[in-house]
Amino acid sequence: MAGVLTTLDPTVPGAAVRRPGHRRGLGGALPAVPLLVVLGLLFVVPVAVVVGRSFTYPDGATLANYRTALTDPVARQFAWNTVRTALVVSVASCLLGYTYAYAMYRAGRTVRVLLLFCALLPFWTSLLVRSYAWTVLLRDRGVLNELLLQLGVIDAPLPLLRTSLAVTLGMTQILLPFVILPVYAAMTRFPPDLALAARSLGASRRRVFWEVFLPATMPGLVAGAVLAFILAVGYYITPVLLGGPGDQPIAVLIENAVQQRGDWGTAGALSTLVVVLVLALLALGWRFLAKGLLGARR
Amino acid sequence: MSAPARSDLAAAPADPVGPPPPGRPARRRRLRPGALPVAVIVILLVLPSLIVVPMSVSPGEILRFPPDGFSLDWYRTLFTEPQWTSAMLNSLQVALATTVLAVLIGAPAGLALGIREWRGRGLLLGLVLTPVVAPPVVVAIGMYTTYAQVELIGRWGLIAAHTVLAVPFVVVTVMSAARQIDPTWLDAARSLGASPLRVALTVLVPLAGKGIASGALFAFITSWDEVVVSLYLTDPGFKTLPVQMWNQLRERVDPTVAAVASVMLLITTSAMVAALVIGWRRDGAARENG
Amino acid sequence: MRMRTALVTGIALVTVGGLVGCSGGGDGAGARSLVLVDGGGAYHDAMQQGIIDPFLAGTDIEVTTEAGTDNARLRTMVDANRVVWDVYNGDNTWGTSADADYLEPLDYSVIPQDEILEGYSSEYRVANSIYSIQLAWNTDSVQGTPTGWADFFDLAKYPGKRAVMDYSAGGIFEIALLADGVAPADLYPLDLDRAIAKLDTIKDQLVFWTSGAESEDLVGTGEVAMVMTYNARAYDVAQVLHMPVAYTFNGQILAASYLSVPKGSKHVDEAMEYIAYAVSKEHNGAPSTYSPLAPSNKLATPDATMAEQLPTSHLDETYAEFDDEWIAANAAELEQVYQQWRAS
Repeated sequence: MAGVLTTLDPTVPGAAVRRPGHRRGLGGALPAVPLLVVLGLLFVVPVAVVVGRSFTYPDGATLANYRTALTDPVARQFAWNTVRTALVVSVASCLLGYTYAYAMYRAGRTVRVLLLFCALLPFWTSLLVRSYAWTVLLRDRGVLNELLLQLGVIDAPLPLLRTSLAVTLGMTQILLPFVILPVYAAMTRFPPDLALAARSLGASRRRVFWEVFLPATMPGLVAGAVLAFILAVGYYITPVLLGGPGDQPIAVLIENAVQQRGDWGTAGALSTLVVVLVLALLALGWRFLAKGLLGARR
Repeated sequence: MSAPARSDLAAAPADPVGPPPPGRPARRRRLRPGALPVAVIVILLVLPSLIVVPMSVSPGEILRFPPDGFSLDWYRTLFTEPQWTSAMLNSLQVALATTVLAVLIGAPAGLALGIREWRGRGLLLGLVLTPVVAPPVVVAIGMYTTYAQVELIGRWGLIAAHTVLAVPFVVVTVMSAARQIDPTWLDAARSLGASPLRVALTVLVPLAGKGIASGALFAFITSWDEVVVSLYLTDPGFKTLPVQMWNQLRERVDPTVAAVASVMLLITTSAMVAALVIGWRRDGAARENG
Repeated sequence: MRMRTALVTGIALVTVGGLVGCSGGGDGAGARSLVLVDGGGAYHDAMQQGIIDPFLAGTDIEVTTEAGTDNARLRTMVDANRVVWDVYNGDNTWGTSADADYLEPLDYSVIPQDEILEGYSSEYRVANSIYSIQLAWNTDSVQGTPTGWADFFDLAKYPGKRAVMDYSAGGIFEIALLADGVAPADLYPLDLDRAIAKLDTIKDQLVFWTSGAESEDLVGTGEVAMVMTYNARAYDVAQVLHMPVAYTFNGQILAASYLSVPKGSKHVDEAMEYIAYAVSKEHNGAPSTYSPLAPSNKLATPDATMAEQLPTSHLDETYAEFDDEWIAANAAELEQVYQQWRAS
């Protein structure tokens, strides 16, 4: 536990040492061989089987499943629901996450650690229970509506549960840390001298923020946004429990095809399309993610 | 679906203890105008986690808030009913095995990625991350259909699947920690005649220890809270805690699930607070001595 | 360095090898035994006490029960020729001729087919209990007494939200058509356009539930005024949890849970023996002591105190029945139309 906190708390001093250059070629990968074997057998093969079935099910080589998947209005609708939700959630997470990370950055040590603790709290609560807690908060006779009714703010319960708002709240809560942490890391990497220099040249504090600080920390924000978006695309239980008819994710169609009809063709084609989307996003955002992870030089 | 923090992203070494943040004026005592939005975000983050505690002590058979009384019956259910106790033990078993395997497999790769630079490490890292970003439903149906072919269902199927889902966290945290190891130390140790095993145990492991520990913790949590893949791979005779909670929520939405969540919250919160206090003490001591 | 990496690699490989090696499991063939799988929960408890326990008392067959029917897993087992389930207690959507490739034909020389209710036994499955989809409402929110599906769709007379099962083959089209005046006997083939048009009239008041517990929660707490749910769920929320809920059997749609035997089961004979016992006139009524599950055997005697709560005790009122064969044959289209409507 202490390890996590110190890993998470970049106040722990110690700068990355300089790496020797490309000394070893591919030989450096040797300790990763067991990992590659495990991922290959237990992860790549299963996903490949799903992808493969999209071309072979129900009988022989076929592209029919893709024709169905791409032209089916239901699949399109659900795909749009998924992408729209992911977009809204990542934008919300970026706005809130940046604000929060900035507050952490500016705060004193105690407050910073407290804020970090709050940001991580969702991870320590079961996902299932958290989703149910949201339904208890947001339902017509839920905590929030009862509170507003008693305060006289509203006369009739607001429809909160089974709306896009509920999905956005529930998923943003879970995905916020994925934005907060990389953004905060980027902020701590910001050289304060830069701000001082800008200030001494006469820039206002506001201008320093918008024209120096924000651009410098942007890679962290992009990394967080990409991560939040990719993870949101795969989310399934939260939108089903909290969302309305217009919020159902594509995962529902994949699961129904397999569970109810044993239709591996449709499930495979939809899965393949989602995986391709996720991998494409990962590739697009890789520059920013890798910067945080591999520590590419400035 | 279970997706613990990629803490490691924040682990980039930095030194904010140095000069103050930009444009910070002299310390002001009054509340900053930014405090309100931050307070709202804090509420958004913690409210759904905290509300389960009062819900867990409601004596009625329905999960509700506010509670209609006070009762610890649901905690008794949790710690006495075999379906709950065995689910907890199963989860513990799977999560511990997952942690050990993920560390054994992931730590060497993390060290390799972190200590030296070599061609293709970006590619390897990309591959390592795919289990985390791949849509859980796709992973679940894929694992389900392939693992079932070799009857890798139930205990070992869950351990295998969770190891795949957890290993990226170990790789990344160990990699972050390893980035702070100077490879010349290893060469020095080797040139002084230390065996490779000795170098690994006496130099690498202590230096990357924090990374390994936090990676292990994330591996544990990944397994402990995993639902989607577990629902597919679970053997009806071998249920993990999230699967049992899922079944309970579908059979009857009673406060036992809130009790589970509260116990988890209590354990993790007190562990984090303990870690904080220890950290503070140590820092304080270091400051006094230094 | 090379030594170290080799060592670590070796340890990891051995671990993985051990992991994969340990995966095989025996199937326990040989001794007289069978594995029975059902949906678990209150349903399983009623079956355990009413059927399984008495069966065990009078036989040398060892019965292992599992909770969690899963059609996809059954298909996978059969495809991989690794069948570990011997008696599969599925719902009404499983076991039609659409699933012929996955099931053993039942042995009606042992199973008393002539005693089973008309239409509730076929080549691959036999009903072991009858349940129904019925209308229930929250008595605090609803003024008056709704009498059938027409009232479910009458927002003027009974304002408030309604909850329906989020499943294309679960009866949502059927209740719309019944409410629109289609006679139960003329339900199939379902007129989907007409059903959708009727459903559209209450769409903005609809809530979709995905588990029986959720349906109880919705109507019990008054989150919705009316709900379409299983009769056992309406019974549970009203009679066991004592929430302000009432229900009617008028307009109920009868359904059944079925016993079937996965193809390639290594205990087909024991499975048939168990099924014959479970549907026999002597034992088929027993689960009704614990849950409002009606016997499928015409000659079986249900528990007297539960009789009023059984769907089959209300056949003098209007009722409909699912045409499982038609539904199975049109499952993909139903799902397509349903999801399109639900998402639009």
